[in-house]
Amino acid sequence: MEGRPLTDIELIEQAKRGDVAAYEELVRRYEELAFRTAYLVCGDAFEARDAAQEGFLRAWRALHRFRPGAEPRPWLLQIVANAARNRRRSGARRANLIVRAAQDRPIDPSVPSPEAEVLATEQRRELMSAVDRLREDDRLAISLRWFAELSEAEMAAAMGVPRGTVKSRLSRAMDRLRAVIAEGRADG
Amino acid sequence: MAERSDLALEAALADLAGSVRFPATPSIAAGVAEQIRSGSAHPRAGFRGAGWLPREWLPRGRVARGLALGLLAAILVAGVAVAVGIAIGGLRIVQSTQTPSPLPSGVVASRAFGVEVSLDEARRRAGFIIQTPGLAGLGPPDHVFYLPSPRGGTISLVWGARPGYPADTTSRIGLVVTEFRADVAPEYWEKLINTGTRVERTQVGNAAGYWVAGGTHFIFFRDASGQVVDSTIRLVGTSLIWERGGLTLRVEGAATLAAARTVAASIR
Repeated sequence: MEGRPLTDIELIEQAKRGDVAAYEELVRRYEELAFRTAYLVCGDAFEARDAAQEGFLRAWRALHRFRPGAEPRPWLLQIVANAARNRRRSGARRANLIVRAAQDRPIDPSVPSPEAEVLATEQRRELMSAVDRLREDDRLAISLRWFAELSEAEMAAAMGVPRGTVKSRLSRAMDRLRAVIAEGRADG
Repeated sequence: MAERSDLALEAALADLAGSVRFPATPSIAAGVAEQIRSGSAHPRAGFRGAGWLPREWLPRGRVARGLALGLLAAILVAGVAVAVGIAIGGLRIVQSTQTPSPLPSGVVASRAFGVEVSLDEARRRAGFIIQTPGLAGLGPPDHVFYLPSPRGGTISLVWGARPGYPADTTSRIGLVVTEFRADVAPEYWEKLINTGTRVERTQVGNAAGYWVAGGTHFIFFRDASGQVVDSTIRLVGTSLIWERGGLTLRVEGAATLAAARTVAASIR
């Protein structure tokens, strides 16, 4: 096994035997995803950081319940998202997502000119504005799917709902987003 | 306008995802490992064992975690602090396990509040509408300070001795009202408190707040990278902190919670 990074499953098996360094490495791999998911759920960076930390500590204490050979990612996300939802209840805020300016975005060779990139940035801002006008549960579904790039199974874990519910919520959120965009165009 | 097709909308969202800026991800792994190694995350130990606060005062999930103090450690504490999950509108309350050395008087006296300006100038500079206490006997503040951090700036209104609000013998400050925007993450003010300081959840009108009383505590500012901005370190007294209308407000210098609430209730 020397010479190659350990897989997540190997790390979690070592952690189950009490290897803190292995668990630290696992946390490092997922801390960004966990923090972003928590941020989308609870809407506050401080709370998201605490929720992620609390979730990872809870997961450490629950390692004995983790099914051997299972993927840790959805399990960790579920625990972190639970912690984030608990924090959200008493101080609900919406995650403040900002669209980066064209010059801050990685160079995209498919964009033909700086002017086209500026136009694309404006269109992205319009789309984000439409997402921001959605109801919170619709906005969360779209943000988790598209901005945190979670799978439907992971969204189900993060939202604390069955997978079928995720499908219907996402579909409804996309319908409403289309309607908001259409409204905006009609008003404009 | 024609409706976007499913595929076109999905493609637009996928493209947007590359431009969405999340707050910077803080380092979490090291803190988690540190707590596990220190035994504070022992299986089934629970999060309520922070020890320094009665359970009923702790908000929601509780995490006690190690926090490197960076520059502050060199200046003040040379030790490790334990942060708890108390956050209110851009202000964190952090428990230190060691007694800090006294601050250099120059830091307390001058750098901590920012630059002194007139109230009109403060109104021009602040990125929010400054609110002032209308309590009879206070009158206008004796000094007004502006600090450009965090976003929107921080305004400190300072009074000398007033009836019911005697001045501190060292600083000659009777009362301070501090205001800054609540939505300043990832930057934030951090209040470092010691053993002997009580943090009590309370109400200020309809808003939740904290009464931080007794002991020695400091307030300083951390920038977006988490670094302490040393020009903001200031020794502070008993304070009432709350959030209202997008602002975080702090009344410092009132001897009792009732007196602080009286000032708070008059702020418009």
